[in-house]
Amino acid sequence: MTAFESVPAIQQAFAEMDYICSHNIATCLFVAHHLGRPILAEGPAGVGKTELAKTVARYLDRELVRLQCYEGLDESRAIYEWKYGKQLLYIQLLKDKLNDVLAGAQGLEASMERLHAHEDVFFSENFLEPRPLLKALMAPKGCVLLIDEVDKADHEFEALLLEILSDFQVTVPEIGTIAATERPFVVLTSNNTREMSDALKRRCLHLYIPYPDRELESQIVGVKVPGIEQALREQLVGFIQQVRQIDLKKHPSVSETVDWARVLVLLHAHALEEAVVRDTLNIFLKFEEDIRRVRTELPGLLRSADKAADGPAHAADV
Amino acid sequence: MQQTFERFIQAVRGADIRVSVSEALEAHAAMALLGFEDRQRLKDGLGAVLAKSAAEQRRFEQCFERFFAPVPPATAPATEADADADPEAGPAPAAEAGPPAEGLARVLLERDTLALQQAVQRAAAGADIAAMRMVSQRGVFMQRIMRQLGMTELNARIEALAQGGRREEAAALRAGRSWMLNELKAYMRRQVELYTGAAGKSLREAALRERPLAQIDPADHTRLRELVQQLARRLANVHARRALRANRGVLDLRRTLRHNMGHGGDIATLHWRRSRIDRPRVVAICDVSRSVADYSQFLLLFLYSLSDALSRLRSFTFCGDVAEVTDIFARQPMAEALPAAQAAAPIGSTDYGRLWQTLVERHLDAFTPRTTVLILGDARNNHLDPGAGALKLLRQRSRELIWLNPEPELDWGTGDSEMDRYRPFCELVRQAGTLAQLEQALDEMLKRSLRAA
Repeated sequence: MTAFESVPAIQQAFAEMDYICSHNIATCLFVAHHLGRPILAEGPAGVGKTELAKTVARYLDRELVRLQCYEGLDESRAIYEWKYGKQLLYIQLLKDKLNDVLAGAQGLEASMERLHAHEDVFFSENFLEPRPLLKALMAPKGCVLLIDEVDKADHEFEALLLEILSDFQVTVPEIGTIAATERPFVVLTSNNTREMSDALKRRCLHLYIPYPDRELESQIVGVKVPGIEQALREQLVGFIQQVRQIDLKKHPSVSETVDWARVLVLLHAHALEEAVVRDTLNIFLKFEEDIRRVRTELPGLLRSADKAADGPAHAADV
Repeated sequence: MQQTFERFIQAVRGADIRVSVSEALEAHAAMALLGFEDRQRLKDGLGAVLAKSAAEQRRFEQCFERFFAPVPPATAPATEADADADPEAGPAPAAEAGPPAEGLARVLLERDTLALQQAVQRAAAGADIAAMRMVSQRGVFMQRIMRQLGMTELNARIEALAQGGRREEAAALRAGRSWMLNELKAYMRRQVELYTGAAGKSLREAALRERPLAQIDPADHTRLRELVQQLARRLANVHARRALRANRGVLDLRRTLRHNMGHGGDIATLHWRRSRIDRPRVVAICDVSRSVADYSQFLLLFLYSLSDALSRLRSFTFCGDVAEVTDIFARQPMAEALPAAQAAAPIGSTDYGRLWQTLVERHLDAFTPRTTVLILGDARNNHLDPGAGALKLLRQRSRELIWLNPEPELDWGTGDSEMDRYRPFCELVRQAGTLAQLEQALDEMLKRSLRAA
């Protein structure tokens, strides 16, 4: 089977690898692969942006090269660096050899001439330390390049990415242009802490991943926590969806829903009971104010989560 | 198909989504790749290529739904079921036969929605409907489409029938005509939404930017406020950068050698060259007196928006005397901060001479060799002592002084304006009466301070 054959095929293959992707995501992957474009995935934290890249890597059976962005990230840590230490060490060690090279040369001019013949030795690929971006381009069988949280990097760094994203090549002044042996599949993620520049956006397909709807989240929990009972799963997802409607400092992400589901399974819970929920709120809420807020509204939330969980079940009966 | 695609791109641009030529090409490739069988797939795929943010994604989906609006199935004949995917995809069947009036009459009598839709689409393309930019153009385009449809011939025919004594036929055609007009109006409504939405808005915004701030209609203030904030955000985004940047991979040979002297010349530790970029330090002084009141409320809003981003911005307002409002800006929400900042300045007739004097006496610490001083005011001093000496002192202590004056340059120095006296102390003097001028002047200022750093 060829990779990324059709949208439903992608959805199915990803589901088999425990990644439930919406129609939207699958279409975006499909287009990205066939047009050879990077994907810029935006959305709240913990909806599976990073996981998406990992799954693509597994799907294509390629290596995943990850570049975690942070403030102050620069060329020397993202693209390449010269191994200065090694260069200096070699110079020291080769001091003696220098005499051989220069042996017989008369005068300064002639010595220089001899040296010129060897000067490229120290600026060759042997002394080049590839960082993630260059590594991704040099990967012999291609790879999936994940540029994580690109919004955390500086403005200047975006400019560095442009050459790589549009032409899949890097220019090293001392050596020349290094083009990708096999085009990597590129995924950039952003938590939207700042607007990305238009130039960057133009080169990417934009994929916005929101919190999943009820049905999708329920599927995700089902896949990630196979031991969970159907009724509890519906109830739990309904509850989380309710919590996301409240104004909180930080809303529970999908990964936190999954964590919570695991905890409930460990505690042998069969239904969302107030006492259990009260004790495990800290699994998916990370701020004291948020916990307090949800605690006060707990009875109401549980009731409506019950109702919501019952709703589709009844509809199915009819 | 090509035409439909081009008009769709027009419509997407109309929805305030920027589509470059390369993106349009890309969208075309994506469309070819995805095919038309699955409406949702086409929507998702084109959305991924064209929309660049969550908000644009929403607008795109709206636009897509409107553009590829399904034909209401109620009266559509069952034979052309594929019409809902793309109203123009299929070839037009009956309407092509016979003279236009003949075909049209048949369509009307049979109430053939699908044929009418197709005829209207063709007429609309002939009338170049994608060029429509404003709601007020609706009538013109409606007329054009009706002409293209053969309305004149139809009217003549009804007339002839009525006079020839075939009244029933005439009545039937008349009823058909009003049915068509209703359909046509609905169609026009959709088109107006499609093509005029954002284009009209951007025309209005462009006009707002060029109009003197003080003369803008209060009805437009909300919009203007958004524009001012947008401007501040953009400037802040570009200019509020990090302080320290490592210059990639460049060895600082001098420092490296010096530090390694102790090892007898063997190089053990390396030092890298780094360069420091300083964020601009700005002292902004805003005149809030009556003569520039309309103007200053936007400047205050601007300063407020900017103070979020530039951590080293100190703001002062003055009228009779000067007051520092940096804290007000930092602590209070916008709705409260702006009137508070305006009220903070003691009331009295504008006295620039006293302003300089007070700044020298009370706030001299704010003026350092790295400070950019930004003065927003009309320099109308009510014939009081201009106090140029104190201003000169301020200038000497700071890096540069920039004056933005809302008045046109021709008025500077006339009447009680002291602009000509102050001008020699300023590095940059600009008229900033409109939003566009303000933007240009501030951009220039921030660039200067970045370069100088």
